[in-house]
Amino acid sequence: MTTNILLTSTDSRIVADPRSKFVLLLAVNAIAMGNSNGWLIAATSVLVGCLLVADLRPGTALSYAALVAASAVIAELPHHFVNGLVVGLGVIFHWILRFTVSLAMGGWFILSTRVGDLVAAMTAARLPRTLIIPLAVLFRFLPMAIDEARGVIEAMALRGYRGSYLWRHPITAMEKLVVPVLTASARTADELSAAALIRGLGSTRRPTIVADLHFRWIDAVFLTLALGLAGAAMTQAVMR
Amino acid sequence: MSVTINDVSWTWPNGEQVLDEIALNPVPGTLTLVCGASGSGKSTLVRLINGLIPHFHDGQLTGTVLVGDQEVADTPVDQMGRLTATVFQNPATQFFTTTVADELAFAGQNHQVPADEIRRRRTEALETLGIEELADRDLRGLSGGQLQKVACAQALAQDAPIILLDEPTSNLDPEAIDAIREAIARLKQLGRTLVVAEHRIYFLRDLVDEAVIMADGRITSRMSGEEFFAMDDAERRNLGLRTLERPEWMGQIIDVPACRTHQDPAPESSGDADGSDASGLVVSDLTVERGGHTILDIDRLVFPRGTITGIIGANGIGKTTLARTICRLQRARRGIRVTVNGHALVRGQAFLVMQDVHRQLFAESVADEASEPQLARLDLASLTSRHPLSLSGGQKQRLVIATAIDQEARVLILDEPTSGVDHRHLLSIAAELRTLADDDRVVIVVSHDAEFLNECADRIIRLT
Repeated sequence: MTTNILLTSTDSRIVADPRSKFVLLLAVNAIAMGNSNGWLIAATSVLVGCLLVADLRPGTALSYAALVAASAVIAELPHHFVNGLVVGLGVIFHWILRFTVSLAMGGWFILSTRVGDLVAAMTAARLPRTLIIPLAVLFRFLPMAIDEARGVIEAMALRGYRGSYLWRHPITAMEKLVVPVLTASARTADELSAAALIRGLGSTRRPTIVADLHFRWIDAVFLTLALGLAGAAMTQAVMR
Repeated sequence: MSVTINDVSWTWPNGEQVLDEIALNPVPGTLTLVCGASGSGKSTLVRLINGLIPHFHDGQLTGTVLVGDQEVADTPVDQMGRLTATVFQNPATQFFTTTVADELAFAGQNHQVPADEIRRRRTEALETLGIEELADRDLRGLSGGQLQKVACAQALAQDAPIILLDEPTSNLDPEAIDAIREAIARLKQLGRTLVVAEHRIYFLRDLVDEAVIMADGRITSRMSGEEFFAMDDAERRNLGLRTLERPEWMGQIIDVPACRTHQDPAPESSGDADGSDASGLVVSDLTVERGGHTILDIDRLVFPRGTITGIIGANGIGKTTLARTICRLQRARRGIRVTVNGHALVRGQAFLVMQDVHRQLFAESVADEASEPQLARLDLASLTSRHPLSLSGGQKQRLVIATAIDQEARVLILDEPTSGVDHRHLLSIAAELRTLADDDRVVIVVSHDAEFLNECADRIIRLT
């Protein structure tokens, strides 16, 4: 059974050009993975939280908020209590906080962007087809691979490969999951490519752009935010 | 535009010859039906016309295939979409984009058709097939029937003179099949040349101009549409074909509301038409919720042991959810009671044979997957050294059933076991299920296939 596990991209409330979303994605990642800290990380994580609230399910945004808040608190502890355990935890959660912000931003970008719009935006940006096609395939393929993995996990449960079996025999369990998923994925990829090839996907000429790509006020907001974040990061670096 | 297949043979790299001296010449503007047993070469024939053979699949090709005056082997595969459009069997993998609008534009974009023309074709295709309301929808979330209609609209928007359909109804319920018939009739009215490869054929009555029957890679019989549908039942069975008449449900159907209304409570023992015999599977107070909505809310269902119960109902009504709940793959609200022969059902006693059986095979050889007696019983003894995933669909299904018997499952549930199978295979699945029920098991079949359920089900529950 195919279950709809992801929010579908047409449900997104923010309609923006994928190019401005991508610029914002880069800016957020530069801050999350760079050496910015303090209020700038806080502001970035709030910004990502706002995007999740606007475009994804409330549960996802809540889990994100809880993880970020808990990580921020634990990462702050070493400033107040200095002992080995607290410092160790502080370092771990410092990075969990940053990875959460970065991955949540990536997730928002993927889930809120239609493949068609992304391809159109990349085509308009004159990126080579050798980059565009694999990315488009990845967008299309990932949700199917996740569905397949869920199906195999259920099939394993039916055969009794569940609960304690999984931690008693982790390698065998992983093999039982990975082999059928890979086999099914290979078949899926084959069918997807066949259906797309005979509709002209492999053509080297530039495809027509049908998507309505134009600059909206939200694009201005995203680009300003990206510039603002980049500026603040540089200021923080200079002040340090 | 015409299609001319001249003495074509095709051999896979492993030496298996699947097409042998095929000659076919569908007349422009007509519908050619290609039928025959699984593995007879129907899908391969479709792939020959749309260019996947020889451009995508490796193998040895002899003879020529012409679409119009262009030879397929000499036409770049990315240009084949201007000549032919294909509707495939599996809705999940035939679409490349994620929305209806993008999908209907995809081929035109790749063929550098101007944007305004793409939009015009898209609107026209949706209107022609009467699915304008799907224009802004995401493909995920559409039913199987809706997806196949979108695939037909896509074929129309592609503006190719030849449309190929490869088992377009194998995942559909009877109502959706009726809708596909309408779509195909519309495509034919518009003058397209259609080639349909199918096991299910009744729905094409009055649309077929020429029918060809294939066996072992050869065309063994050709006849006009009228002659084909005038065949008597004995002749039809002899050729291994599925029913030519729309199958009607035979026997009594027990209607059970998928969600009981509390103002008008369901009868005390829904589905318990054979008396209150508790020596089978009894499911009581079953409520399943998803995303804040109640999907199923059933007072009581009884599945007697030793019998085969069919579960039918429209797509999305909750048939598969019911099966998954019984097998504990789906969480139900607390208070649910599931008993088998009067005792609480223990995990592992109920087994689901999924539609995608390849997910359920984990060993490196057939011998490691199930015990010898079960392999012998299910006619798999000669395949013990094979890898389970190298077996045919029917063999995989039997192997999964063998694993279920090995773990002493008392309740066997099969989800759409006949999707895309020929008549001979349909009869063999029906016979297997009868043997399982005769061993005093509870056998439940979730299916849309009236022809199959008429063949094997002792009772039918319809979720409404």
